[in-house]
Amino acid sequence: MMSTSQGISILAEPQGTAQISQRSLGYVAEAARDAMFDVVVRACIESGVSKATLAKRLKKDPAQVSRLLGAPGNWTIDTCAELLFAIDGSMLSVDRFWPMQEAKSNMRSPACFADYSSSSATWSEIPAHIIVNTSVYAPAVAAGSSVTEVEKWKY
Amino acid sequence: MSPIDEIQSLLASNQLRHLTPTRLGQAVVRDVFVNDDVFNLLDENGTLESRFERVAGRARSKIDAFISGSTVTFALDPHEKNRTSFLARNAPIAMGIVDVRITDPKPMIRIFGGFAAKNALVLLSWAPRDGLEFQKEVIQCRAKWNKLFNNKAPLIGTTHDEYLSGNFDIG
Repeated sequence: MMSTSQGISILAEPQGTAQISQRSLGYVAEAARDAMFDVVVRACIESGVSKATLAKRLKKDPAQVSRLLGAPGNWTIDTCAELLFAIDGSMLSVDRFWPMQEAKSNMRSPACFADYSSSSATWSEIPAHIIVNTSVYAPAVAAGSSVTEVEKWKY
Repeated sequence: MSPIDEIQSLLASNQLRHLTPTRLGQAVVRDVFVNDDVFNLLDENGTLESRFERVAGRARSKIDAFISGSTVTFALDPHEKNRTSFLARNAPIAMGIVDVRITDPKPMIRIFGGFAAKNALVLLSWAPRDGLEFQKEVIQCRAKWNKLFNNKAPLIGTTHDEYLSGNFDIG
């Protein structure tokens, strides 16, 4: 029998005065940040504006713009709004949804069980010269010892 | 047994669990399988030091997005990568260990594992970024992998496409 996570409770709707877990708060905050980031990055791609142009429009260092567009990190709402407007003159529109009221997707089982390319995958051969020693600070191998040595990796 | 057959067997014996997105409306496009250690990190009912609760929620959000096929940044070169990459290979590449990187805001964590096959990521350990000894973590993760998969190697590809389909950025 397949073991799957339930994972429903992290987004359960708050009840009464019960404290919301930090996990739930971390989850929804990250999801919101990523959603804002997606909007901005898509706008950037669709508009074709360069980071250099954005930097000039915002009077920022180009390296700073690159960092901002790399990931949402410590973005503020100001960051998002300013970037969006600088990209193509658009403004952010915000809406809300209730995740636990979404219709359940039919595709929740492991995709790899259905996907031919994954199901036909085989294990890689371990190159003969690579032997894994699970001891991090392994002492020198003593004569007759069954411990194998970590050889220099090549890649 | 093929990697997928092995995973089915490990799911049946409860040594691995399959993560499904917390939002019911999200589909599984890429698979993430976790052992009890990582499940404890990512699941609402898991037990954690309080300082990691919030970052655990953040990690679950990002991994759910990965599972549902979002665009992710995947760094193949352990030594030259975008600091914001979501996923990165670790040195030495021949070990086949990758890590999921939960970065700013702090605290930051890393979740280690390997690909059993394309789009099938198995996560087996995690650690806070602060004070992390990467070599030690990689070796320990590989040891866990070897025990689970009877010393068969994780996927080691030469291109991003060998690891993931769908949307990804090179990072």
